[in-house]
Amino acid sequence: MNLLPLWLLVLQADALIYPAIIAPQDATLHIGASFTANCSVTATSGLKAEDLYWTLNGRKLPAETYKVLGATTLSVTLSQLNGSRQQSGDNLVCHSKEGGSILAGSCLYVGLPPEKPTNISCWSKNLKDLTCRWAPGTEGETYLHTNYTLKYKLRWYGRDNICQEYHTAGPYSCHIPKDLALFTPYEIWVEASNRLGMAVSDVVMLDIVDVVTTDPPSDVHVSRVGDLEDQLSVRWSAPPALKDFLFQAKYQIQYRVEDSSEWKVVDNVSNQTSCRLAGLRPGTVYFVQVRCNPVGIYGSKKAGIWSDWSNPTAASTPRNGRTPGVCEPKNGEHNNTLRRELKQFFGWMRKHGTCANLSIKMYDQWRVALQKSHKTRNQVLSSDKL
Amino acid sequence: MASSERHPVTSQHQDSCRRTVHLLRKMRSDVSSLLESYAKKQGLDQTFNLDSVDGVPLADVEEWSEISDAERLRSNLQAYWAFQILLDQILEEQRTELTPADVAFHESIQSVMLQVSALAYQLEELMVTLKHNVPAKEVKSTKDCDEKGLFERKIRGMKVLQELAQWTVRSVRDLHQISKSVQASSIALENYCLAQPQEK
Repeated sequence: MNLLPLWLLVLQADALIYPAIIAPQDATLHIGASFTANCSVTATSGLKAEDLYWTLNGRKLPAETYKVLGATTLSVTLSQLNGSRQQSGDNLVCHSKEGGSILAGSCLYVGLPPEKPTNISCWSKNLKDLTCRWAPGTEGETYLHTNYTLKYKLRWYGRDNICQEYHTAGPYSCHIPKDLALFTPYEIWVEASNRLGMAVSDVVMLDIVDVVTTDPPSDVHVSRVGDLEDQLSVRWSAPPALKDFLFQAKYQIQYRVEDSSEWKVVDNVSNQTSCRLAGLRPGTVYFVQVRCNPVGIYGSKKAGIWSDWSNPTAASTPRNGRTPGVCEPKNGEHNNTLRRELKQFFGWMRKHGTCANLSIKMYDQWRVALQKSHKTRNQVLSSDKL
Repeated sequence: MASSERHPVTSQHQDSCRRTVHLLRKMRSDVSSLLESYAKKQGLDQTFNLDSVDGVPLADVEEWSEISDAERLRSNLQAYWAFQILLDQILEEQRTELTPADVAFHESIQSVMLQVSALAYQLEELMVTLKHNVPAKEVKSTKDCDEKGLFERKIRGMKVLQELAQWTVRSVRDLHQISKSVQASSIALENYCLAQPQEK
C-alpha cells in the first residue's frame, strides 16, 4: 500500500478524533423530505472540499448533488428520501477520494410518524391476568422503530398503569399478570411513539369478568359405543381453574378423519361434559378436540371467549363388512397395501407392546404415532425448503 | 507411554487447557457469525478498513514469540476483561438506539458475552494453576461513549467484534506456545496441552 495520508496517522494516534465532522448528526426525517448535510474537514487533515465525496448506505452519491461551501466544507442535498433501509439508520458517510477512507459519518432516520393503534382486544385467563392485543394502525410500516405502550386504569378513581410484559401473544400484545380488580371497568389504551411523533388509540372499556377465557378441557377421552360402527363417545372434564366460580360453560367439539385436514364442528354442546358423535365412517380413525367458553361468570352477560382447542385425541370406529355401493380396490393392490401396513404395525408392536395386551387400542395408538411421524417429516421437509 | 506417567495435577492442567482451546474455537465461529450479522444490520461493509479505536485491545503484537508465559496470559486475560465491558456497551447501544426491536440479535451478542466471561474465568484458573499472579481487574469508565454520534458507535462496535475475532485466533496460538514452554521446563508436564491450534 502507499504511504498513509497524514490524517490516518492522526486517527491512529488519537482514534476518537475523526478528521471531519458531519452536520447535522443523526437527523430524523419524513419520507419524501429533502435534506442537506455538510462535511467539514479539520484544518490539520490537509484535505480540501474537492478531495471529498459522499456515500449513502455504501452507494456513491452523484456529484451534481454536492456543493462546495468554502475551502474545507462539502455539502450534499438528498431529495425525495425513501424510508430507512435498516432499523439502525441509513449511513451517510463522507469519504476522502484518496483511498476512499471514511472521514466521518452520520445516521439518517427516514420514516413516518406512527398511526393510531386500532382493534384492541383483551382476554383474562381464568380471571387471574389480562392480555391485550392491537393492530398498529392501517399500514403499520413506519420504517422507524415504533414503541407501543399499553396503559390502563380503573375507570372512576384509578391512576395510569403501564403494562410491562410485551410480545407475549404476538408482536403487538402485552400481558398484565396480576393486581387486577373485578367488577370495576378498566380503561385501556395504547400509545405508539417513534422519532417522528406519537399517536394514541381510542380508549377501550371492559370489566375483567366479561372477557374471561380458560384452559382447554383436560382428560378428553374418545371411545367406541359398543359395536356401533358409526359412533364414538367423547368425555372430558370441566376446566379445573374455574371450579370455584359459578358459570355456565359452553363446549364445542371438532373432529376429522385421519387423512383429512378438514374439521367438522359440533356446536350445540351446552353445559354437559360428554357427547356422542354419530354418522361416522366405519373402520375409520378420527381425531377429536374440545374447547370451552366460560360464559356468565359472576352473572356476566357477555358472550365469553373460547379457550384453545385441547390436544387431539384419536379413536377408530369399528369396521363393518363390505360397504355396499363402494368399489373395492383390485385384489392385488388391496393385499399389497394391507400387507405393507400390517408389516409396519407388527414392527411397531415389537417396539411398543407385547402380545399379551394386543388390542384394537394398540392399532389406534400406532395410527396416531404414524400420523405424528408423517407430520414431523412434512415439517422438516417444509423447513428444509425455507 | 508418557500419558501413563502423568502427575494428576498435570492432567488437571491439560484438561483446563483443552477446555479453554475448545471454547476459543467455538467463540471464533460464533464471533465471525455475529460480525457478519452485525455488519448487515448496521448497513456497514465488512471490508471497511478500520484503524485502531481507543480502548479496544489489539491482538497484533510486536515480537510475539519473545513474550513470557505470565505476560502472555496476563495480556489475554486483560483483553477479555476489556471485551466484557465493550460488548456490554455494544448491547446497550443496540437495545436502546440502533436495533431496539431485534431481540434475537441482542441474544446473539449476549451469548458471545457469556463465552467471553467463561473464557476470562478459565484463563484466571490457568494462571492460578501455573502459579502466575492474576492482575487486578480495572473497571474503565465508558461514559465518553454517550457523546458519540450513532454512526461512530456502529463503527466502534464493528471494530470491537473484528478485534475480538482476531484475539480468539491469537489466544489459541498463545495457549499452544505456553504448552510448549511448560513441556520444555518440566518432563513431568510433558504433553501439557494436547490441543493444537488450527491454522487458517
